[in-house]
Amino acid sequence: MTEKEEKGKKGKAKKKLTVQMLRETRKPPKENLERQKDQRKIIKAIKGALKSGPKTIPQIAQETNLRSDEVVWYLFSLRKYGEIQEVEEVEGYYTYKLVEEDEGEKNEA
Amino acid sequence: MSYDVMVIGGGIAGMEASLTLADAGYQVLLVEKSPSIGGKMIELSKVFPTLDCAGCITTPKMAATANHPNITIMTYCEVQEIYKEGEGKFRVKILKKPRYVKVDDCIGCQRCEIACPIFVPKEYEYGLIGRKVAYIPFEMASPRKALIDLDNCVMCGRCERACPTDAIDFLQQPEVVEEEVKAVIIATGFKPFDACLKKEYGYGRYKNVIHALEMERLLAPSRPYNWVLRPSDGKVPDRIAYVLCVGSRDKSLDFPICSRVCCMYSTKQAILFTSALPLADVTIYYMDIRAFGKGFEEFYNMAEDMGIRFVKGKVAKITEKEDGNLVVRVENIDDGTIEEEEYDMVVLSIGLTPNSEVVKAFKNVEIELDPFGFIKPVSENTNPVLTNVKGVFVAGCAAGPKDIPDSVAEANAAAIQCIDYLYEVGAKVVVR
Repeated sequence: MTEKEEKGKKGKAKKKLTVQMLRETRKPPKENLERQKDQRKIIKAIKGALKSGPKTIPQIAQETNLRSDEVVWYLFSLRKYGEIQEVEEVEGYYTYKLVEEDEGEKNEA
Repeated sequence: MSYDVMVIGGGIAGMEASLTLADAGYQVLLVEKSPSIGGKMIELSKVFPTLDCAGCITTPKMAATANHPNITIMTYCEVQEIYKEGEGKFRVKILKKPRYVKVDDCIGCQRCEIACPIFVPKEYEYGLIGRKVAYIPFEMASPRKALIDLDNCVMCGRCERACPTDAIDFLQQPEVVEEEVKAVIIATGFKPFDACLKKEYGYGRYKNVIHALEMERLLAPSRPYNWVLRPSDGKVPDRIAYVLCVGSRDKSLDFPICSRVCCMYSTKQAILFTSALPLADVTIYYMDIRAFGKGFEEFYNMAEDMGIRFVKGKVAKITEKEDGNLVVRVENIDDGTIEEEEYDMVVLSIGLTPNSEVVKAFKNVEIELDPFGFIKPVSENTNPVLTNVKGVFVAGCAAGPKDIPDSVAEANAAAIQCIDYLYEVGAKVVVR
């Protein structure tokens, strides 16, 4: 543990989180909370579709009833955070799969 | 701490001017509006005509700027007011926007980012993918420190709980700091043309019509997708069209000037795309090819030799088919025929528009603008970096569209002219 990390751990143990203090003076906008709910559903649907094996974007869109451009946006956002990876190209479309947790750790290492 | 020069803008011109001044021993304050320095150049894939990696050129420059003992960088800050109080004396007020992260404590570990549950469009990728609300702007950001976009936050506190150094501080407030400088260099760059204004091309309505900076990101090594893919459905495109002069040389937009770069960056992108997919069909619709720089004509010839099709014609309209393909209607000027061609994707080669809002910060002097809104130099040919206000200099695209080598040359010219002015007003050099 670095010096900064140790200091941070001690600091957090002592005091109230600043986000809690902020919430006492202002609430998060309703639309942000709604967006969070919507996004959670979409991400769950995309990951759910990939549980049965690698799929192309049109296949995921068909299975989840999401628009294919919406699937592109979320799929590649998740890919940037290491949760999804491409497998192979099949007739102009790549297939994508979920990154298993141990696989993600291996990639990180 | 007092500074000799304030450089406004941390893009390639701002960094270059800062480094030249700092190497000469002057104290430089570099103010950048966004959370990282690097400007537009760090977003690019490669540069023309040498096809050198843009990131490989920009990141050492960013590191040199960030680590120079004579340069102080203020990122995520805006210059609000500038008062000229005599020769060699400018009083400036700078707004420090809250990052909600203590910069000195943040170690850039991204744990806050991973813990954050919300995605919003990522500015660095032109919204092609999402970023989190707690985020580091991009992989090579300098400083590589997180910030929190409070407007989109749900205040769940996951970022704060995940932070190993207790760096998150939701109670930070905006702060105005006052500094005194002896001279100012404006290097605020340009704004990309808003392609939505050319309604006939369907940008913003048709997913597969993208602009050239989005294509730069798709071609860059740190690209948002795993390859160049259609944003509508992730298909690998076989046929791509480029439409040149979108938002430049266009009297209908009251913007008749040339962007000076769209011919060559489109040719570069076409070469990069064709190199990776030799069987792909790339067509460039142009008014004139302006290959005026060193090696540009050879670069254009190389593109033709690679099979890239250049068609002299103005695109009238783009329409979308049900499968997301796009039909481009164009008059071929060489033979007078009207063509309708189908493509998987269309790239709009957008022009460079002014980013001169900073002139409003000058409260008791007025910086002159040219008819198009760029900062007007005293003389474009003999004094391209002097503004009408003594002690205020301009460099790069803030004074008009230009390519990277010209911006760098101008940044050095501005720094040298500035040193001349500092000598005149008696600023002392710090020898280290």
